[in-house]
Amino acid sequence: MPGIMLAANADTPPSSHSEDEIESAMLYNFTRFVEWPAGALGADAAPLAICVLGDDARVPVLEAAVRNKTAYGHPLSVRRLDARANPKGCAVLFVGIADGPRMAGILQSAARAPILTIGERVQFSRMGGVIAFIREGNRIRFEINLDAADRAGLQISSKLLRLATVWRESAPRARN
Amino acid sequence: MTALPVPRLCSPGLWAKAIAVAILLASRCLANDPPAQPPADLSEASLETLMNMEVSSPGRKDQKLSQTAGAIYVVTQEDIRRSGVTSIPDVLRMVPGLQVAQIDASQWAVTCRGFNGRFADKMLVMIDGRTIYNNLFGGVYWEQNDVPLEDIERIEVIRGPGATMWGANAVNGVINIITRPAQETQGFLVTSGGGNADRGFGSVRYGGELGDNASYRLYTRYFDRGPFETVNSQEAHDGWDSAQGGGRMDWKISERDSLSVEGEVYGDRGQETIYPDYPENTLSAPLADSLDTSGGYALARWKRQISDRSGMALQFSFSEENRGEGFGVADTRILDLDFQQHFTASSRHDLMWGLEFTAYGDHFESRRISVEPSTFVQFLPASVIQPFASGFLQDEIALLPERLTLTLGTKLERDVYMGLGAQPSARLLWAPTSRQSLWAAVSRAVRPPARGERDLLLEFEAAPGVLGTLSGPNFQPQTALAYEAGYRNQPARWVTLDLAAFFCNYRDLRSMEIGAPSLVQAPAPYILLPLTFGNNAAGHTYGIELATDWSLTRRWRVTGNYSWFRYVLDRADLGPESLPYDVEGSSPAHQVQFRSQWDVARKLTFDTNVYFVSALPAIGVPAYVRTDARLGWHVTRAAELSLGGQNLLDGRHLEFISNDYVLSSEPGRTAYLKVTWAF
Repeated sequence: MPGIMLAANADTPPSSHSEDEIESAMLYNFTRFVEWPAGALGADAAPLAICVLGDDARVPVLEAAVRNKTAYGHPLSVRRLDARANPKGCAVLFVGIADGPRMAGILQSAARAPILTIGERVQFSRMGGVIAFIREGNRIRFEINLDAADRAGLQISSKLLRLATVWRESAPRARN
Repeated sequence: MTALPVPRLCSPGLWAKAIAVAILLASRCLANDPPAQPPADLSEASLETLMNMEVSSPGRKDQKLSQTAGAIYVVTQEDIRRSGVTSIPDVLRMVPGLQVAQIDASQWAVTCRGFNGRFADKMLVMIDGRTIYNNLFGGVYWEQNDVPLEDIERIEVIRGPGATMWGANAVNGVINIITRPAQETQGFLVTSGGGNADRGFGSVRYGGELGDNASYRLYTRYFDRGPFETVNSQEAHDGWDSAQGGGRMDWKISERDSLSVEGEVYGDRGQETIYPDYPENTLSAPLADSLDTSGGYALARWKRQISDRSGMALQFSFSEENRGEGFGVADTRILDLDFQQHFTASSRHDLMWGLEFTAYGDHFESRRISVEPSTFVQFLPASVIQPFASGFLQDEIALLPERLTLTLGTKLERDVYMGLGAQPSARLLWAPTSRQSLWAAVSRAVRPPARGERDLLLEFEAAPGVLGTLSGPNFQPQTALAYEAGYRNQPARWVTLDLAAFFCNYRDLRSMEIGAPSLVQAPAPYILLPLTFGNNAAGHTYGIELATDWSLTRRWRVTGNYSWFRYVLDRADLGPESLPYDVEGSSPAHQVQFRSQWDVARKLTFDTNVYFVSALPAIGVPAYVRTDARLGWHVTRAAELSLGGQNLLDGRHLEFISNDYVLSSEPGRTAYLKVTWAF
């Protein structure tokens, strides 16, 4: 019995994109379905900063994904964040897997600030991150921690919630 | 017998029914509307579209493989190119734990975890999901199933039973050769070169596009390889040459459907030296013989993403092999239909199931060899058409998401020689961190009798006036129960460790039964000595396999592998008239490999592979060290000049003595120069 499903992975046509590319496009979509608290994004023309921590390779991919894009009239900009830097100026904070061990600390420093924290793996949202990308086979899903969103004062649109797996810290058993 | 009290999978009507179900499923799938094409700018795609897209990234795939609850190793196109060798078995030497030995200039013995031979029968080998195991002889003819090395995307090797999902011969391992999709081989690729052993070789490949969504490639290839030397320093009679041509097309029919079609024809002309009095191998002098083979295959695979949680693949293939040598001409044909579906049933359960139907046919035309004494080989009947059917089901259960995964599965297989056989397995993977994992597995695997054992009738002169016969009318499946465990760690970004340990218990192993001699009076009196294949041997194997990979600098990568192997026969099970077929000490106890890939300068690479293989005391092969190297120079963007060499530090050495009719010879020091031009 040839494992044709496995063997045939190689046939995925070239139009398919890398994990980073798809996640970056999703991240851009998130910025349009999340409402920041009034004043959090600054003046109208002020850039909406997407900060990247612990995944330098992702910076150019994200930059390409949000080039010439805006959210709520704010031009999107991407910047690499040093681990010791304060994330306070960021509207979106992406935390790469490489920073896994420091994740708890990072999330703590970002908690209650109006920052949309996004990470990879389910642990991220369970530890207090707002959105976590989750791999399901060859596809990418995401989980939203609604309590974390509330703490950050972020309003998440119902459309986004419909597509996501929703996690509530208070009632973890209610999932699914 | 391995027939278990489970419901019969394949009643006569089930063939038709299953095909009907497959077609029904297929037509239902086609009726769905294809999803919207994603726009060129990915960010403009809707979230729904993005969530439906398949991720493709070779780097990440490796990551996924590292989360397999089994001993898996992947050889990439880069590894193949930089190895500098010119045939697939030689590429496979770099896989930890694999036992690769060359018998003569054109023939190899390849297996893992023991039982090696010209007809190594416990290893399943596939090219793009098409099995190349020859059921008539019960082994793989490596020389007949060559793939242009430039067209291989990767080779996945699974050590240990892979029988749950893969084929019935996957008792000790699976080798899966995956060729590159046509869109990755666009334009012209021309190679040419020659040397002292690879006397001359050349290939032309062209890849193009058919509209926006389909691409193809066509290739043709030729090589001429010179003879090795015998143990007595004579030129061996084993040179060969081969020509092949083929192509592949990949068509993305819609966002959800893709179709791949490939095919090839080939012809090899070779020489070999055989023992005409096999299996005695002592009464007649070895005989110069010719080995002429030809064949081809056609394959079509349709993949469909049914929904974001489910996908299926339907594959059809037809292969034909024709092989003429000493004792006769064998023609085999295989028609195969394979259906598999994968679906994510819930956040915890990932299911996969499949059905496969195979129609196998062959014909063997016996030939009498004109020296005395010589052996006469027959298959009774000389022609057969046989159906095979199998199905499997596997559930990957996420006990703790991304941390603890349990995989349960079983395969049910039915063939003409063994009835119904079940091959279940249970695998547990624990990944305490993203860089570390531990796994353990228990599996049962079955190696069904091959026609080469069941229908064989060999008549040979056992001694003057004594006619020996060898047959296996009652030969039964051999079974294995394997316990495996492994540990993987990536302590730093630049180093990975992969350790596997196994213990495998074999029952009903092949033995040679010596029957009571009898006196036959007519026409002239002679003594008849009947030998039969039996299942009276039993044994166990154990060992460890360690693979390490070090990216020491940005330009220097080193891999170091070690494997230790032991095979112990449980002799108590054998009576005085019973001989084990596979003896202890016919697999190396220690294998050490060291591989270095060094980017000397921007356009210059230098790679070395050193292999130490310990002695095979049972068959009289001493330990040896083999050193291969390759120097590659990108003269321009399009052209590369490379110098390859094998056995550079060793005049020549013996690697294997096969327990069949082919006389072994010794690979020597070889070098070649090659030009690769891509435009």
